[in-house]
Amino acid sequence: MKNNKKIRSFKDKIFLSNLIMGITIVACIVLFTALNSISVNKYKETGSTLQNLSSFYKNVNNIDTYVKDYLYTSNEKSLSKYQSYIKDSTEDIHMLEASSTSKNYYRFVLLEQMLESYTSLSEKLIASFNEADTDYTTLYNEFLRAGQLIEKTSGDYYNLITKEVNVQLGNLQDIKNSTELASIVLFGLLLFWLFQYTNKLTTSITKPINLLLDNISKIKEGQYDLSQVSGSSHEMEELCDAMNEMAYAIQNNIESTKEKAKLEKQILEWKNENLKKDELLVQSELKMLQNQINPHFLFNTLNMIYKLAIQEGAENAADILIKTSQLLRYGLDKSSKLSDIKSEVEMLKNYIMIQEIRLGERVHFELQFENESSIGMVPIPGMILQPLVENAIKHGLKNCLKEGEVEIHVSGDDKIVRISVSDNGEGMPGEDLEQFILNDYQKTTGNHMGLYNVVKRLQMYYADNGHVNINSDSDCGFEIIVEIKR
Amino acid sequence: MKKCILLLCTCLLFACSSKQEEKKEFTYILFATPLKEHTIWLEAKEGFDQACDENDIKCDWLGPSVIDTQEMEDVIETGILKKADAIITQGVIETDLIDMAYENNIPIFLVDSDIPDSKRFAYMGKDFNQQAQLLLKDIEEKYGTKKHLKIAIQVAEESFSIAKDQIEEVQNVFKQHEGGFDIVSISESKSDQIRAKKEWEQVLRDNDDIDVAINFAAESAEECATLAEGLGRKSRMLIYGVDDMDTTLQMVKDGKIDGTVVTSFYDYGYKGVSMLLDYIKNKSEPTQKIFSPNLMIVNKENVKNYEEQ
Repeated sequence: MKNNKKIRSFKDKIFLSNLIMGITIVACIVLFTALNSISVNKYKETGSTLQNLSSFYKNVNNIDTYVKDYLYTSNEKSLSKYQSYIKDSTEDIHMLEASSTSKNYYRFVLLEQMLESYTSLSEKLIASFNEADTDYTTLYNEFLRAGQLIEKTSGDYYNLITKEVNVQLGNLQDIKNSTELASIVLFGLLLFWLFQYTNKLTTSITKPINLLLDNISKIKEGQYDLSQVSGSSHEMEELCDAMNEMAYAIQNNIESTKEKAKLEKQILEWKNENLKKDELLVQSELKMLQNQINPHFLFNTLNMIYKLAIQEGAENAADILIKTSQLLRYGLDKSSKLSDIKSEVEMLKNYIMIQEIRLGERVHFELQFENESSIGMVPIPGMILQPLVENAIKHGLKNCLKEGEVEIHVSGDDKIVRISVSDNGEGMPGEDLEQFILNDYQKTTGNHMGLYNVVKRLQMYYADNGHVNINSDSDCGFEIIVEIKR
Repeated sequence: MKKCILLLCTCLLFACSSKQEEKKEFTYILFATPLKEHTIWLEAKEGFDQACDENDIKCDWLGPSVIDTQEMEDVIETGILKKADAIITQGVIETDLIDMAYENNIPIFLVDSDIPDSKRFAYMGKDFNQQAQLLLKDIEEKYGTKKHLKIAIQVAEESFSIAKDQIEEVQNVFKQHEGGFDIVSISESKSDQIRAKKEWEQVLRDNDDIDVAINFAAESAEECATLAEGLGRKSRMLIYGVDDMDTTLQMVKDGKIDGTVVTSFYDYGYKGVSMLLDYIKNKSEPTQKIFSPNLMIVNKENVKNYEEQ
């Protein structure tokens, strides 16, 4: 958003523009005043030049008059007047010289020299008159002639002044024209500059504001990138920065909120799952408690019955009693402890024997335990195999009157242990099986609780090293395969 | 700021002082022309102006528009009162005026017409004897030496010494002509074309047997030739003029004028100023007082070459 270019504040820009405009206007006023002053001075000079020239010829005429007057009357006042007019005419010619152009300056010098010749002649004439010299008449004629010749030059000099006046007027007209042209050009330039500057200034304000508005709309839509917005003034720059920071803050907040919501959801899921586990645990514990009602009393009673059966010669009953007692004892000891494959198989043999006696020919049990020496001591949570066989009898073969089969196959090597329990019972319909697996081996009705319990215990103990597969369909039996990586 | 004011003051002082110095230092030369607008004299003005420009001096070209000696004298007298550094003029003025200028240390350079007895600075003009010789030579080439010549002459102003001198030299030189000659008429043009025509009309009417018409006024030859052609007299007479006005040269080319004696009026102005400036600067008067520009007669044979030059 920021670049290296120095950005002035809006206030500075306005101040700068006013300063430039002010200086321009003052400069124009000074220029035009100066030109006007020059014009006025030129007019004055022209007028004064004509006045000086007129005065010069009048004074020369007065010299002539007072010299003659002196010659006729010998009046000293006339002589004084004559000298005064010589002085005046000299002053006039000096003023004419001062006001003339350099081109015509020499002409006034020549006129001054003419005046000098004339005054020299007049001095000689007066001296001649005073001394009653014989040259008086000649000098008098020369004096008159010189006066006439000076007077005769008046036409030329008035023409010269008129030409100068015309030149000056031409110059003044040129100045006037130039001033008018300059005024129009300056005014035009000022207008152009003002228009350009106003346009630029307006754009510099409205463009970032429009961009901000656009981006605010984008913020509403969930987009927070304001990198395209740039400020043309310090204030706009700060506004853009603030806007940008706000957008990023909003973006971060929303992302944090989403993350938080996600985490909360996960926590809720975990809590929910824990609750389910707690419920299951409670149910299991309840069942366990129900099953553990006074086990010592039960075992003592069973021992007493076993001894009676021996005493009375009922060896089969005694045998069943001892196996039942062993089975109960294993169940109580290992249901929440770790056992091994061999112990599980041995306990299952007791259970099968009891169930064979109970079920008779309805169900036939087939137990295969391969590679016992290698996998016999593989640890496994207690009471895993028995619930699977019980599940087969209880659910798979519950409606089976004869030829029911339960096959238990335990095998493995140094890498894996495979336990398979299958029955040829009514099986589980495909959709039920799918639902059963998706619901994580739990049916809402509470059926298959034993199966669910087994699977969960295996998952908890082995995690990724334990794997459970179920194959079943309606009227196609049920098979559960447990594979344990070693 | 202070520096600017100082610079401005210095400039103003310099400007003022240069003006003051100009008052003392400039050189002013006046050309008092007899005819300020005449074509031939304007050639002299051209040379005069050129020399003034080259030497950066102040100059004035003043004089009457028509022959007016008094006006010329007024111009010269005014120049003397103005304390001109030098004056160039035609020697048709009063000698006293030249003496007056001399007394005021103003050299007078005479051109075209001389006043030998005056205190003039120098003279530059046609050698009228040479002019007459050229005319006689050309006439004898056409008429031979045996024919008796009846000659009519027109000058600008018969009372001018220049006119007198020219006529006198014709009389002197033409004495060499074996067939002899008579000057049957001397008329004046007063430097006016209409007057020239009128005078020639009268002369030709009064003199049916004129062999040679000599025009010492520049504008006269054209009028003479036109009238002679109109009267059917051209084949019986030779017409001569002076100076190289365009009309004259064209009529020479057309065979209406038989020849014109030309000299450089330009040199009157240019060389006049150069010589006077040399005197003003070095205060050395020339050892030679009379200068003659080259003279030649331009006729039908050499007019093209002359124009090209």
